[in-house]
Amino acid sequence: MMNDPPSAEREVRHGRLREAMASHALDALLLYAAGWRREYVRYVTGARLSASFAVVFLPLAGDPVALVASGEDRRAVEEAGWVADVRPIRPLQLDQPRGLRRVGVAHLELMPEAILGQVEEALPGVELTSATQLVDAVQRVKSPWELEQVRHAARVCEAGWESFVRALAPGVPEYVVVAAVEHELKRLGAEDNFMLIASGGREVMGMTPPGERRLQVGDMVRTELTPQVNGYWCQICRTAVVGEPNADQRRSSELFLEALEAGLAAIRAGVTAHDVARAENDVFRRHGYGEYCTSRYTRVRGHGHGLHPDETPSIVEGDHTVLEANSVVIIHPNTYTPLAGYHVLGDPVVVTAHGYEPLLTTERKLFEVAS
Amino acid sequence: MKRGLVVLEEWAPAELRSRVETLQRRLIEQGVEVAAIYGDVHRSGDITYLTNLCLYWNEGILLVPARGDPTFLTKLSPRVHPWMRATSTVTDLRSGPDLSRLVTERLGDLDPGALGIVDGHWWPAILLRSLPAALPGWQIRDLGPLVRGLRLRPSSSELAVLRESAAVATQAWRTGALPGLTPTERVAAAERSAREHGVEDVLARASAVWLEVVVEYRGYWTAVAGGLQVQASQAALAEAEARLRPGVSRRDLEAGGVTLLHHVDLETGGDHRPDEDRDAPLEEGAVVVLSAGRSGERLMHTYLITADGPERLTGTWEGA
Repeated sequence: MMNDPPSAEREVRHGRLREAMASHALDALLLYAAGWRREYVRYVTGARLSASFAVVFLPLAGDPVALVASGEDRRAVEEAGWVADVRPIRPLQLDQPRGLRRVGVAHLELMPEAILGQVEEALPGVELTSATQLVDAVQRVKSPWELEQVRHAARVCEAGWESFVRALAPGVPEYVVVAAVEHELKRLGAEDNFMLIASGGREVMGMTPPGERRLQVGDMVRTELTPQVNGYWCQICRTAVVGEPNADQRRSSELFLEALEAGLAAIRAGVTAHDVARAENDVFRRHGYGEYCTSRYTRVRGHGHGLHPDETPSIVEGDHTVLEANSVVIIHPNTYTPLAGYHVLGDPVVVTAHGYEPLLTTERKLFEVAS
Repeated sequence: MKRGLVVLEEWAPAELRSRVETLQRRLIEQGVEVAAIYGDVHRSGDITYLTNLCLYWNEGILLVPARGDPTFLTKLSPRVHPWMRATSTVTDLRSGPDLSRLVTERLGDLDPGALGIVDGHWWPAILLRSLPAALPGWQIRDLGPLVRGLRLRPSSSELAVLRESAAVATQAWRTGALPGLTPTERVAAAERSAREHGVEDVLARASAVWLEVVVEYRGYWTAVAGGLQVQASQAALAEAEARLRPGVSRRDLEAGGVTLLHHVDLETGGDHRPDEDRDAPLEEGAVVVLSAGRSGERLMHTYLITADGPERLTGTWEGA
């Protein structure tokens, strides 16, 4: 199931990172992986790691060094073959190249004192500065190989949604629905899954991990599920009703479909995240639901995808990041309204010069499950 | 990921209050006004132990004053607060993008004293280093693995949950180890079994003839792994098992080619263990995991250490 990235992919990625370093007057990058944020290190090593931390040193010129916390991670990096020099992270041993003055640290904000202190000792006199936004920007634009992985993840994503619908029935607890989805995703080779759920009526204000609540006839059941396949995440947001939807649930579905389609219609290379979010929110404003686009009721109107499920940019009004061709974003105008409570509907797309490539074929509708 | 059932059991609030009170007594003994415990989705066992909070995403800090109720500071939205209140014992929840600022705002009304940082060297350095300037007059003091120390010897109610956790892991292993399954089918079957039994999280890996299952059930991690065939590492595991009793150290056991993890370190594979853990004598009542062999074929079981030797809590085909 694993489709290892070709070595040409390494040259592309390291080359793009080095271009970014040069344009920001950095002599090297240190890319840090926390146990829950390994995307940068996977990007530069091509390896799937499992320990709680790892660091890669990528100089502007010269060979990279990977610092890992376990024998298993050492083998993973060596087998990927992108970084030949693999060392233990504790004690941290870095040879300071001559002329090294300024180093960007990706995920500096998460690097623990135990590791940053060792980095500072290993690189005396070197200015360390955050390179998190810089590396985010590099990773936003996907290579053709990366886009193939996202398309594959999208197919798994759709199968996950189908298993979600199959699992819905009166009396079934939320956590058993999630178990069915996880089974299907893992059967199809997913490494992991980010998933939230909520069931009930108008009282539902947001989504969380599952509880013991058993589904009832008339419930709206909302989910965002996000399998990770060969490193790449892809998300779908849909809502289903157990039984026949009522008039308010149908009206809510129409509202969210209109907002999603407005957001998608705004997408093309060169527009900003703000432009897309405004297109979505204008639909709510036009129908008298503008207040439900605020942070009191919702987080974002979409976001990036890739080696992390929630990459930049955030699709929100006020974020003026320019969308670039071959970046991947999900558009989801998810929020609460008094019509039918929290509602989710979202599709991931690849941004193109004149629009977008849809990644899903799942219908954009309110699904109905026989009760 | 932590995508499974999160519940606050009926018996839990009283026990959780007692755990917080134990920590508070330690703080008073050490002259500390407030303890701060950092956690994220990868490593949150100390916070879960004290509150039952499940950090299903992002980062947070639990502040435990020497007297009074804890406060949880989170980067998640206030929209999640009702769920957090329903599934934990924390009632004071505060949200914002800047954890340092949230700490400052929470402590702003208190007279400056000592702020105890639990496991300070594992805090994000930028956050840790921001605190002295953000909290003028406060003394910032590292408390080391204070909460981990409280967790090493489970109470009787914790042990009951650990036994349930081990039973769930065992059932998941047996479901995924049926003959004829592919590696992904093994993982899928184990995952479904564990989640249908109510785990928060499950980490499963498999080959055609081997399966490893690590589960988090009600905040308690256990692990089991084994092959569908006789494995060379069985002798090493059996030898370590025979030596597993109170007073033995991890260093003693690991000399035989096995590895030992306390259950509290399973969520991070032992990456955050203090160095002194290697030579500390194991205590009666501790729950630990022994593993033998390399990744992809290793044997693992979870044990309760008793005065008479180990009681294996997990099983594979040979039974438990």
